[in-house]
Amino acid sequence: MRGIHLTDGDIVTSSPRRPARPGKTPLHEVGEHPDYRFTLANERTFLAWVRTALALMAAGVAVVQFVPGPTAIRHGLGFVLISLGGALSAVSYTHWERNERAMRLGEQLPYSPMPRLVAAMLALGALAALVLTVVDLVET
Amino acid sequence: MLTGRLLPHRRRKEPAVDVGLQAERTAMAWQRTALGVGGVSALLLHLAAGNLPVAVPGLAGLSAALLLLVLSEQRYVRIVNKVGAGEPPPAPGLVRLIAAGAVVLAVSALALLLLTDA
Repeated sequence: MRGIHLTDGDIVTSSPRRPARPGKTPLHEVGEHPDYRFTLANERTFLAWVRTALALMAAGVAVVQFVPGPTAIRHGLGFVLISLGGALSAVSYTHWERNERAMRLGEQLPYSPMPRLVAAMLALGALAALVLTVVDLVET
Repeated sequence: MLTGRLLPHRRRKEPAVDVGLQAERTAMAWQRTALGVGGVSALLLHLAAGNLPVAVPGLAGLSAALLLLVLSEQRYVRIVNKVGAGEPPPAPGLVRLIAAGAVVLAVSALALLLLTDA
């Protein structure tokens, strides 16, 4: 007999067949607690991303203050770095949330484009700062 | 009773105290992040150059960093106790908070740079 299932998952009744829109249910109601080590590892990864974002902000301020060259370019570069830092902070939260959800459901962790994106932006930013510095050296 | 109070974890079931030092690593990650928040805030404070209204984000950030250090320590103790008792670790409400705080810090940095015209 398939009567009433008294499991946690069925309390939400609507449709256990549809795992789409997992964003609707609050995190702590999804699936079950994973191994606490995974939860903590996810948390540390999130924190590492936040620190990266903070470093980007600091770098942005430093670029505006210390890199030589035309004001517009310095400001542009600094603003890009700081905005990237702000965006990264927000994205790192959603990333943490998605990872946590996947862990609770026992699914594969979602792919993250963040490392590639941040590495590319940093490389471009460093190149720009380098060019500005070299141009300044050559001119003086 | 006294030893029980001094060493609360010893009375839990055997592999109780922060096996693999997971909780400690996590607490240190929180502390480094707090230091990062403090560093960026100090930078903003430096940008403000003594102008009090402009110094508000930096001051707020520094206070937040201090608060975060305290909270991370409390969280560490709670995690060790919970996990030691075989329960899941406490919900990380701080995660959302620090992400939002970092966004605010970035926006303040942008605003400050525009204002101070460094």
